[in-house]
Amino acid sequence: MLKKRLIKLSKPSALNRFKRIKAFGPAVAAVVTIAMLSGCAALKPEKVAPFEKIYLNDAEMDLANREIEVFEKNFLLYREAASGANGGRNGGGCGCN
Amino acid sequence: MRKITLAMAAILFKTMLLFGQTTDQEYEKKKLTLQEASIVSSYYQQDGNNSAVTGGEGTEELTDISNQITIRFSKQSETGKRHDFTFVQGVDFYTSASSDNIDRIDSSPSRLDVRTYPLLSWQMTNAEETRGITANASFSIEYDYTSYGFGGGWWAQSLDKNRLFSVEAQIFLDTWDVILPEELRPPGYGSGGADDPLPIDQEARNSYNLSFVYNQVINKRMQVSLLANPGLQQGLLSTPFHRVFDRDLLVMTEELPDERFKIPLGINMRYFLGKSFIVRLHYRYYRDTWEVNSHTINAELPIKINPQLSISPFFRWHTQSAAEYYEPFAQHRPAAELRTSDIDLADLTSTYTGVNLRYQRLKGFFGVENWNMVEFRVGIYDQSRGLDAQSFSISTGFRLPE
Repeated sequence: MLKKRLIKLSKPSALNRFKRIKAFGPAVAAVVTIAMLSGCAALKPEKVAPFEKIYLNDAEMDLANREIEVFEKNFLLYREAASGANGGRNGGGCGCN
Repeated sequence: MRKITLAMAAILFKTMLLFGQTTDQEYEKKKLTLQEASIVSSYYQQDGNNSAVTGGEGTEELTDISNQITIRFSKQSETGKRHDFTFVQGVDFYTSASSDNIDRIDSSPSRLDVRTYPLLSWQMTNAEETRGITANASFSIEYDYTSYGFGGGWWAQSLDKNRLFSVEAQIFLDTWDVILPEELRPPGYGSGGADDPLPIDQEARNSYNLSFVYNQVINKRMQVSLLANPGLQQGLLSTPFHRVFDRDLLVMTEELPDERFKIPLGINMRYFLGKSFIVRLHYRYYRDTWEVNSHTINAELPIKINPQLSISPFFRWHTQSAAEYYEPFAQHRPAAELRTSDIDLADLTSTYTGVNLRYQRLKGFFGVENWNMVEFRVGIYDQSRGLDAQSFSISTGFRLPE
């Protein structure tokens, strides 16, 4: 009689979970980037008068980072190899990246 | 005759009015006055088990309390040019368990450290607010690192303020105190401690950065920004007290190339959705000459509860490939000339999730009319290499009427 062996799947470890995210990551990044660039390319910039900028002038619409993010940008710079193009530092000024 | 006299009087009167009128080019001169001030404080803690001080294995426990105060003054000349002066003073208090292992005794000089960093910047804007130039100078000091920074830039925007282009150059001339792991110091070489009379070496690290930014209004609800931030670093780019173990468990110092060129490219997008939702997106691609490639996506969704209060959940995802010279603990070839086990340079993926709460009040808080804004931000950082971190920040702003 054949014994059926139950193969118990172990709970995915955190590393395995991140490996799966990482596998999809470049695809997700590419999709988001293409969507953003396509969206922007498809939209021809309009001439918006100052009195029409009620939405654009909202504090949350500012293209720059919030001031409260300054230390967050620092610790992300220290803990990862990449830097710059995000309003934060790109290297130098401290014993970090 | 009377009609001719009246006509000549009318012409003369209008001519007098013409010369008596002030032109649109005259501006009121304004003295240097305080415009706004803000304070930001942050508490950060982390833990993991891949410390570079102990070769890629060991505690990464660290706590950092950071504070920054920003003050901006402004004046205006008779020609309408505005001069803005901003002073920033930052101070960080941090404790690092891994730094305690440089000397492998409890009283290492860097167990508890303070970093202080002032910055002064100036910006001149023309009367039409279409052109400007900037300049800045900064300084930073911590127990083993001193930095002198300076930079300048130029920006221009269209009359309708729908397009803006800026370029900025920033240089940092930094100096490392070369503090080596205890067991790797030559005879007569000091520890770097304040009470140690033995000398240690100093090495330079210089950074040269350019920043290009282009902002474009797309329509009444959307605007985008393109960013490029190339940078070149030269000098001592490794961290002197990081250890590296080879496969035979022979300990060495970290050695990295003395040059690194980085090219990060980014795009920001802001979109006001409906009446109450805003979409804030950011994507960055990064590549450097150490073979690190990375992708980073930030997504934030501010929800305007009312004109004064907004809540913004956010999510950040980041992935990077390993630097060419990285190997985990005890994996390096014995003869490797360039080597690091710094987990920051490893292949990894991370997420950073949290929420931002912002409350603005024109009439001020608690009877203080100029106290206009309070903001809270909390986030949880999770990294595939086992590092976990939490961050809590608070910001408050004061604005004086112009």
